Amino acid sequence: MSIVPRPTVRPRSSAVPAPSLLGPHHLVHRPDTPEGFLLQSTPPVRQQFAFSAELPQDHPLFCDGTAAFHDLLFPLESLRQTAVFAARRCFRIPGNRHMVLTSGTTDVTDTEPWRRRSGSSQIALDLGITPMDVVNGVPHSLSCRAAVSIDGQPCGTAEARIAFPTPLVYRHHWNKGRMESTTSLPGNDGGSSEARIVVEGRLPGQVPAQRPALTAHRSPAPERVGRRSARNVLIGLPVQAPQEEGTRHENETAAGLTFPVDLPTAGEVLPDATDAFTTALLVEASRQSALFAATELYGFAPAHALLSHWQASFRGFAEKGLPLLCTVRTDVKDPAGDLPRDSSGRPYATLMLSFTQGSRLVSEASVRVLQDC
Amino acid sequence: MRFRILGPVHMTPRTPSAAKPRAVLATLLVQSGTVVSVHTLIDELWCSEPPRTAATTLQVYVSQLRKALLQGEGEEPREQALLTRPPGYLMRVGPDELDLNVFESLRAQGREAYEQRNYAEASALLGQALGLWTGAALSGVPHGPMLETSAVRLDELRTEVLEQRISADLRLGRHHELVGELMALAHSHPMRETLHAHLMVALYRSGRQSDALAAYRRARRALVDELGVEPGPALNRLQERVLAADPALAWHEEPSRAARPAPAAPAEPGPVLWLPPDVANFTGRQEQLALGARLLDGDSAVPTGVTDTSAQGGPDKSPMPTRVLAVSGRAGSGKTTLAVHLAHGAADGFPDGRILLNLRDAGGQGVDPVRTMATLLRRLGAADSPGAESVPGDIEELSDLLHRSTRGRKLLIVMDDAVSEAQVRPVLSAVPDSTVVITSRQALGALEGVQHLVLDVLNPQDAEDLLVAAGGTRMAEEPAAVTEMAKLCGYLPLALRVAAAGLAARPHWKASELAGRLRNERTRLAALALGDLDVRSSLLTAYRDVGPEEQHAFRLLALAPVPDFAPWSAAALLGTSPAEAEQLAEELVRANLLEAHRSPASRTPVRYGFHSLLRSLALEMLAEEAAPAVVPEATERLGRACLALARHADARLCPGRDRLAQTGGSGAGAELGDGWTDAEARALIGGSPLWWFREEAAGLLEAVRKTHKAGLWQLTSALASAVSGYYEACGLWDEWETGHELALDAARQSGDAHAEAVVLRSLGDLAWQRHHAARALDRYHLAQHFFSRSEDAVGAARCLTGEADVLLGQGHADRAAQCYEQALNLGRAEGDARGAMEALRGLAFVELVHGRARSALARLGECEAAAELAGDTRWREYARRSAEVARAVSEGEDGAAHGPMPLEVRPGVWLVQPPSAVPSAV
Repeated sequence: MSIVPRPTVRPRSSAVPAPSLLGPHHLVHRPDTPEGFLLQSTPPVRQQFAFSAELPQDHPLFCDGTAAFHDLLFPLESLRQTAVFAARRCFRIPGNRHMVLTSGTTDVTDTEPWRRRSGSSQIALDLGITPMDVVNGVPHSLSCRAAVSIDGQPCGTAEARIAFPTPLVYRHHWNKGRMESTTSLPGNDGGSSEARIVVEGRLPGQVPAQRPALTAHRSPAPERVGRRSARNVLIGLPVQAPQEEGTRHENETAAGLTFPVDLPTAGEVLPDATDAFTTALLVEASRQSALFAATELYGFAPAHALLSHWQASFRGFAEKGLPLLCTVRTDVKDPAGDLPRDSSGRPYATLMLSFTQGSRLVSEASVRVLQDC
Repeated sequence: MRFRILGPVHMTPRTPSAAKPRAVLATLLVQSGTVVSVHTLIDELWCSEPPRTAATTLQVYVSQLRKALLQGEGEEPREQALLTRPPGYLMRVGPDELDLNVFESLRAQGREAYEQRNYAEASALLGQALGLWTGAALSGVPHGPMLETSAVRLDELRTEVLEQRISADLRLGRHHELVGELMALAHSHPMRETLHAHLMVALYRSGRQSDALAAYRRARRALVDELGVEPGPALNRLQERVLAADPALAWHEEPSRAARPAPAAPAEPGPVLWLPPDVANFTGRQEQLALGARLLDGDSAVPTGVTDTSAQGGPDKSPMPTRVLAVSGRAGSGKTTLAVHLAHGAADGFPDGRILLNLRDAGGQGVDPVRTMATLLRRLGAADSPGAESVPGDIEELSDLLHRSTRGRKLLIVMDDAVSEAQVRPVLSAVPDSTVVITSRQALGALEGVQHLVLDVLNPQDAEDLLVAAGGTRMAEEPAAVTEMAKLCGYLPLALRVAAAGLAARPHWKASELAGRLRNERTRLAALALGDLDVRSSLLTAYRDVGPEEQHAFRLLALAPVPDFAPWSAAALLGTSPAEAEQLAEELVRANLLEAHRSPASRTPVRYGFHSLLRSLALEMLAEEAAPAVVPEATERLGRACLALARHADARLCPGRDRLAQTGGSGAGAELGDGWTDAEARALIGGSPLWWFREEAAGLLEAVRKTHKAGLWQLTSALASAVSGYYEACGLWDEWETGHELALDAARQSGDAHAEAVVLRSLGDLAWQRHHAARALDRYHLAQHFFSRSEDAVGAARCLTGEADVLLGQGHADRAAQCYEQALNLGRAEGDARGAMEALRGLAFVELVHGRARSALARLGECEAAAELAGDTRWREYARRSAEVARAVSEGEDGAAHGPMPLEVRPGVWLVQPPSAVPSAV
């Protein structure tokens, strides 16, 4: 892969721990058996929960949007955290098992409650968590579904499938993914390229010893990706995808744009927890890439656009030490054609995203960008 | 024919070539046999501008005509046809010389034959009359006023004759052959409703129901576009009959008096077909069709017994084969449609005929067996011997005759809408060789040797498919509306068909608009009516079949909870004993006015419920027929029964929680078992109050709504408070809020400060569970104020605990500790073990926050003891769990390795703190 060299290097701020996505909140277990009621006893069957939290009013990332909407990541993150809680407390999944999000979907069914207004807002989820692939009473994955409401108004849904592989399986997948990515990245074959990517492997939890040269890149203006602060821009301007065979990158065509994802910046602005990092990273990178693409392709105004649908499947881990690319393609054959409209007459664009590291597909996503008007 | 005016004006042997003499000829022929004055002729030729020489010119024309009339090719001289008769002229023609005369003669003969039901002769004669026409009447000549009028009149006459001829042809069963001709005629005469009606009938009888409806739409559009009027009543009525698949619209061979005598040796009789048309879009019922088809095929493997194709039940097989299928189900479930569909599909198996007999008269009363057998004989006799006219009146003779008529014949008899076993048994005995399908609302369980099939509503997918099949493209375009409509129709086939027909009949509606009209439960039945297709009427027949006591029960039970209710609810509403209520309910179930469910997981053996449309009917009947006091009194009875049982269950679920129950407040019958003994209440609730609440929760909330609506304020507050323990334990926030908003309003309406305090505190607990700190504090403070006003120190102390919980969650541990201490002291002073229990739990967490695990363990030990004293097993176990956590923390387990842990701050409620947020309790 060739990366267009960037003339300027954006200064990095000193490392400050990113605040958590969610503040303090209550999680209520809803028992429907006598033993669940009396003893909080939870067999490996579907369990219901109620979740409620105040939506943040001053988060440095998620309150930094130019469009005045609550962030779509909240319900997903709420779902994820509840699933982690349920995994440990209710389903007795051992603590040495990492949580891996294998798929996630979130939808906005009514945009009005998502608008940010003065004063606090409460988000609530009505969650059902079902253990799957139960072996000896311990599930290997959880299927989670939630109905989302904000200030008592039903306004969305969220789903997630979360796997809890054994440490051995987890390490195997990690290593395999890293190997596939590193061997397929340019610069590892001894050839020259304008921008050599220093690739290293690391185990989860380790800080990379050397940041890739990819960090020296040009980023779009924050308004183009729906942010006010340049600090919160996680993607670079679209790049020329490589021509080499065997890569997963597509050429930039009239129907596709490829963005480098600024992993170091992401590591600074997103919560520093591996499990949360991947979800938050991919959702935020999806949003920024999709908004940019929607502006380029359809003339959307980012300050009045929101993601009304995000659906992704995860094939592997996003290694912090390796370059990550996000390719956005349109779902419409003729980009100049009329966009579909929702029942209120607002246009929306459906975009297909793929995240890759080297030849390895990390995630595929489908998003819908709604132009609010 | 010498003279023709039914087309271009023509005279034999030579027609005058000049236009005006032809016009004179035409005028005289139209008025043949009468004198036409010179003035009339002049007006006809020159209208309002005759020349000065008009009279002279006319004479010339007449002279020319006379010469032409006298000419012939070797013929004998004719008598002068054109005579001068003052004040004008007269044309004399023989009866067969003028085509108009012949036409009118044939027309008269054809009409007479029609009136005598000699349709074949009528068709022939009228056809002959039409055959005289060679074009538009009086064409080829300039028209003055008289000729213009005459031409219109003659063309109209022609069309009338054409219509009558077509009518005769339709009666002769020539509908297939007429379709093409009628389509052309309807196109060329778009304003003639009769032609459109004939076309619709021809299409319908040709099995093209949808084309018939399309013809109606075209006719309507033409009338509206051209004339701005809607079709007349006759055409509208026909459209409704097509939509309803009116059996009378089908072609039945009519006995006509043929001109020729009957042959001495009758030809071999064809099959008797006496069935209404099959519906064009039969949907679903695959299982039932398969069973029916096997029985009609004579499959000896089809046993007798009951096949209940509703969700519950299964076949009860016995080994005897049978030839009788009894299909039962509620009104509108499609029994007749199923039977007719089966019959149409079984033509090969019944070469001797398929006959449907209606077993109810026009008034809905059951037809007696004698009349049924007589009708059957007549229908069989119509195809057999022409001489079989008299039918005996004695049932024995009838039975014998029927037996002989059907012996050895492969006949299928559908007996539709039977009322009882006694009605059909004699008929069944008389047709032992025939296969019979019986439909009835109530299952005819006393019939032996019969395969019973109980029809329930359609499954949701089949119901939606039916709406789309019957409703057309507009239905298919809005799948969400289809799903909603199917549900609002209760998946009842009749309702689905009426809904679909309603949309088809209204091209300007969308499916979503129709769904909107069906949403209101109280007006839904009114929206499901189209012409004589009326769901309400159909359902009313079942209502009218039961006695007055059952009708009264049916109406009152409309107030019962949805989707189902236990027998105790019925007893409360009806004001009877549980046994009497159950008996009435079972009668209603038998009459298909009520449904009974048995769920293995349910605590109640049987629960009852309404089909949604029957509930709409019950509500309507209640509004129409009940005295003003009936509904409030029944609501109060239900509310009190709910309160008594809810308090009993709550006392076992969360002992000591409900302050209104403990203090005897609300004046709403605070003693336990109001209307129930303790033993009865325990038996009704069973071993698990949690499961009882889960089963009854929807009904209890509905009872709160009803009592609030009835202005029963104290009962409303008390009932909501009795259920709130369950809501709190299971985190049912929406229901909790809904019920308590009503309860708060009720408390304020009645000026009951104590009730208001109790409700506010519960709302504070709700806000706290929702982690809405500010709102929780507001409510606790307000509740505390009202508790103090009501001198309820226990209630006020519990508010302090709630406030402390909020403070602790915000990280204000010390302030929380003060509140907990105060609450504990007050609770102990008042002997409130529950209050003390909650406060002690809070103090334990404060100790944990400060890192004093041992002190926390001590407090949790006290908390456990208080829970034991309060009789609350759940809190006792919770205290033990919390103690385990505290012990683990104090021993360094599960410590920093995984960071701060979520804290179970109340049973089943966890406070989750992020790492970078306020330091967690651990």
